[in-house]
Amino acid sequence: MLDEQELVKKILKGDTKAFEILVHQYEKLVLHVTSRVIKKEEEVLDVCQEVFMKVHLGLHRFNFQSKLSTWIAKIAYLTSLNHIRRYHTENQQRVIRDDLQLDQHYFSEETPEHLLISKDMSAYVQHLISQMPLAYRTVLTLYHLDEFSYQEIQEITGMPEGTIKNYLFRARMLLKKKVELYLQNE
Amino acid sequence: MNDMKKLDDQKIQELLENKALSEDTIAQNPDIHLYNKLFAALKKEPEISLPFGFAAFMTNKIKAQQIKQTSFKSYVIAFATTGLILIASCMFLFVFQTALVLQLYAFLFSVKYILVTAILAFLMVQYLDQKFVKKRFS
Repeated sequence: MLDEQELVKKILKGDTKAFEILVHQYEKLVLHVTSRVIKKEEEVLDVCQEVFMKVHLGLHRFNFQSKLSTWIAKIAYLTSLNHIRRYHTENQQRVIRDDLQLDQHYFSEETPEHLLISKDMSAYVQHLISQMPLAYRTVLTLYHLDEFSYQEIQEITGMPEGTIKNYLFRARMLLKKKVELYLQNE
Repeated sequence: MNDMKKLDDQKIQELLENKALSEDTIAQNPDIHLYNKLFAALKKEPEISLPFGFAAFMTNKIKAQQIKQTSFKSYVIAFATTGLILIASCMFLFVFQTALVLQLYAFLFSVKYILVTAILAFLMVQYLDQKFVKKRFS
C-alpha cells in the first residue's frame, strides 16, 4: 500500500490510477461525513462526487501539516454544509443553531419507522443520531465511526475542543438514557 | 445527587474512551455495561453505501474533465492560429494588391451586421451545446 506522500505525489504527476486508490481509501470517510450532514440519500452521492472533485483540484495545496484523512474530512464537512445552506432553507436553522439544547430536543418515537427499527438496538441508535442537531451527529460520527481525535475534529469542524467534548458527553448521555428505556421495554 | 450522577457518567465515558476498563468491570456494573453497548453501537457503520465502482467512476470523471480542459486549450490555439494567418494574409495582400483589400474591406463593412449576427449565433450554439447537451450526456 502506498503511503500518503507517495500517493499525493503520483496524483499530482497525473497518475489517475493513484487517484482511484485515494478515492477507494477515503470513500467511506466522505460518505460518513456527508450522510450525517445531508439527510436526503439521493443528494449524498452528488456531494460525495463534488468532494472528490475538490480534493483532486486542491491536492497541490495540501502541505502534509495534517493527516490526509483530516484534510479530506474537512472538505467533506464544509462541502456538505454549503450544500444544505444552498439548497435546504428548512435546515438552515439547524445549521446555524449549533448550540441547540439537546435536552430540549424532540425525538419522534411512535412512528412506523421507529417500530420497525426498534427490533435492533444499533439501528435504534442510528435512528436517534439522525434526529439529533447537526453538531452532535457530526462529532459523534467523527469520533466514534471515523476515529478522529479531539484535535482533528477541531480542525475539521472549527469547533473548540471543549465544545466537542461537551457535545460528545451530552449526546452519549442522552443516547444512554434512550437505550436504557429501549432495553427495559424490550 | 444530579451532579454526582453527571460526574459518574462523565467518568464512565472517559474510562471507556481510554479503554481502561476490564471486561469483568464492564459486566458487573449495569451503567458501564450499557455505555459499553452504546459505544459498540456508535461504531457501527450507517446502512447507506456508495455504488459499486464509485472510485473508478470518479477517476473517469476526472479524466473526462482533463480531456475537456485540453480540448478547450486546443480550440483557443486553433482560433488564435487561424486569426494570425488571416491577419498575415491581409497584410501581404495589402502590400501587393491594395485595391483588392480595400474592396474586400468595403464589402465586409457593408455586411457587418450579417457577419456579426452569424458569428454570435455560431458562438451561442456552441455555448448552448456545451452547457446543456454535452453536459447532460457526459
